[in-house]
Amino acid sequence: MEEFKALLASLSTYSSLIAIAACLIKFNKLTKRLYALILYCSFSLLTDILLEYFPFKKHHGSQFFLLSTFTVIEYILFAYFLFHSLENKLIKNIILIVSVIFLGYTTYHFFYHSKSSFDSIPASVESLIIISFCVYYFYEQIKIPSVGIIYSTYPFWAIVGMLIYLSGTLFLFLYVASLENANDFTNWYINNVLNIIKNIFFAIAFSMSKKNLSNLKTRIQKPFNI
Amino acid sequence: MLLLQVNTNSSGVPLVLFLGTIGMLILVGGLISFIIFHQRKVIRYQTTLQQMEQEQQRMLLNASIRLQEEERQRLAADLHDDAGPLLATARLYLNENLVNLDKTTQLQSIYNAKQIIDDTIQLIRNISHSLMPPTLKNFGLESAVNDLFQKISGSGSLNASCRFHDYRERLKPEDELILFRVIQELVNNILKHSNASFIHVTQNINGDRFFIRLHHDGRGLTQADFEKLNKSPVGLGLKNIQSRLKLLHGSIYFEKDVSQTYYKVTIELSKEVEV
Repeated sequence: MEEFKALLASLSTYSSLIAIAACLIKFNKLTKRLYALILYCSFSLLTDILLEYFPFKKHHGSQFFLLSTFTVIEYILFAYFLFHSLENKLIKNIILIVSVIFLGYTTYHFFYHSKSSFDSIPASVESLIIISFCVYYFYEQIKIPSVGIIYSTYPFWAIVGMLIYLSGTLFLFLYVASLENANDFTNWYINNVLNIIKNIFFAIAFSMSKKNLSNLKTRIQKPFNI
Repeated sequence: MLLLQVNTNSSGVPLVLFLGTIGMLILVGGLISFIIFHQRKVIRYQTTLQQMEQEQQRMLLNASIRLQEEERQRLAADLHDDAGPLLATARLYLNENLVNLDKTTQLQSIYNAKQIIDDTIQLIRNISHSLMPPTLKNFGLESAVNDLFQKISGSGSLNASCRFHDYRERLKPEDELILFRVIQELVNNILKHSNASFIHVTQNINGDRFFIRLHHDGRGLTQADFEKLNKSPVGLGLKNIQSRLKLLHGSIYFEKDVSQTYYKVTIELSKEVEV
């Protein structure tokens, strides 16, 4: 079992490479949003390698600093992607305001609480915020019907990846936060499985990238008026 | 917190964590499936709507082509059956032998030929007027409708009247012609099918909307009848009305008056029409 978990951890670490490879194939067709996603995948790979192979592996302050930084960067890049995927200006402003509050809270939490433990509460809050925006994205897609099918666009796959990963790990982070020892990583393989799934979805998103999505989005024509 | 401390299940994962993660994943899966199925349903609906619209456009185009052909046939028939024989007769009176005839016969022949040519001129004028009523061109829609209704009332079979409440500013000539044809078609339908004793037309403006209302007390149509006839291969006149109004970005509504005594047809246009 332990060997299987170790294999999962390795697969999870290197699964980012699938997304990066898909991105490199379509590199000349990437949009700004996808640059954010590739930045995320690269940072995720880097963080996982550092956590896996460097001396601060065992509950060292640097490890938690890296994890907290990862939470912040993950939030910023996902929020950036969603900000450019949504159309409602009010929600875009809400994303900005919520982001400022979240970043303030994460900084506070890091300096006063999580220097020596995993930042499970900020990670849970981040998951909840990003999940809410992802759900709003789908609501917007229903509200503004388009001629193109939703799953023929890359934001759909990217957001599905985010949603599955964050909703699947939400209970894991909440559970870790509820434990007396917040550094209990025994169930971390759930995160690893979902990370692999997320990277596969990101790879699909990269492979479907198109510079211009506007030709797919055509509002329903008004019915014949007489 | 008590729930969080529930014992682990057989695989070593705390039950709450297992159920929570599975529950969240099921929710997300359900949400994504719903979005996809809903969107496919909307797209199917949209496609059906577009097909219906295309079918309606095709029917309107057919109706318009048939109308043009009928109009050409009528013109050809008028010219061939009326103007042609008249001119041929006039030619007979003015043949080469005329110079050999006595003066009285010559004068008689010239007089007859002149009469026939006058008749032909009148006939061609009538054909021309039926294509573009001079009253409409020179004096506008109000005068043209008045003129039409005077002719109908003059026949004595029914009372036709009209009142334009706010027509100080004329519509564009081409719009007036289209609207006049619509009114003409509606009036023709009433004369042919409704057995009405009166027709009354009113015109109003409300904001930037231009209204023509037509009342009659015969057998009429409701909106449901109109839509049904529009979708059927019959009802060429109604399809023409629809295609003409489509050019004006206008709408038409057929209804029975609240008193259940009259039928009412309302034509609504935007004042700023671009044809």
